Amino acid sequence: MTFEVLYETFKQQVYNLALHYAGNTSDAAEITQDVFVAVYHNLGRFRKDAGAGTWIYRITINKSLDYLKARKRKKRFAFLVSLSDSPEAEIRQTQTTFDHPGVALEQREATAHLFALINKLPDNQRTALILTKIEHKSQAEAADIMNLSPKAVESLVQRAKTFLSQKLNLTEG
Amino acid sequence: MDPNLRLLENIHPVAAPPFLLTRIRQRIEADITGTAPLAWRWGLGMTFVLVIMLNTVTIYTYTQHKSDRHTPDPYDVFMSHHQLY
Repeated sequence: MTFEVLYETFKQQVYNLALHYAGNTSDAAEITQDVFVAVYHNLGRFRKDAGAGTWIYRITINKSLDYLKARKRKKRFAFLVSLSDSPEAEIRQTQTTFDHPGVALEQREATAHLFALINKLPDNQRTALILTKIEHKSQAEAADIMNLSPKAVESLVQRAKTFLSQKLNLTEG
Repeated sequence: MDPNLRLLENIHPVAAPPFLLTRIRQRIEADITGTAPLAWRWGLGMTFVLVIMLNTVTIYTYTQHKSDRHTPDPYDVFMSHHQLY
């Protein structure tokens, strides 16, 4: 399979998955670029593996988590700089707003709040929740992507749902 | 299921922006032209280490040699020749 075919086949899935992690279009575009650059450089390795979809999903998850970690570091640095009242830092801090085009306008505020809580979840719980609840993957598919057993995925999703329900009830109550 | 969590199921897939492939190609091009092959980078690194080592050895042997061939101070020579007994 050539790089162009892979890009055309998986660009939507990669962009949407990145969007669920990043919560905004500009970061999702950056992550998508990172993913396909990595795909290009590792095409030889992929040919030995079974499913291109699973392989690309794994790269997307890793790149998204790396990107979010780097973004968090930048935010922390911007906060430190903002202590010296730099206008640059203020701009950087406001850059990570929720802007998901797949969310209906009337649900945007509630979904933004939900995503803020999802971002507090441990990486594996967040990935399990995104794959099963937003990407509508079956537990077996999510397990394959995450290299876990379906039972482990079920447990991760359950824990994520419990955490989110508790937090949502706290903020509502 | 918590009704708030149902919001996740209402998220619709969106189309990827059309400019992405151009940007990806630009980044791949930049990676290819901007970075030297691994063998070249290793070669350059090893040459650098070798040059530093040669310089260190040269400086060390030169200073050792110099201290072995210690020439007497002209003042001392003068004084020893013109000592008053």
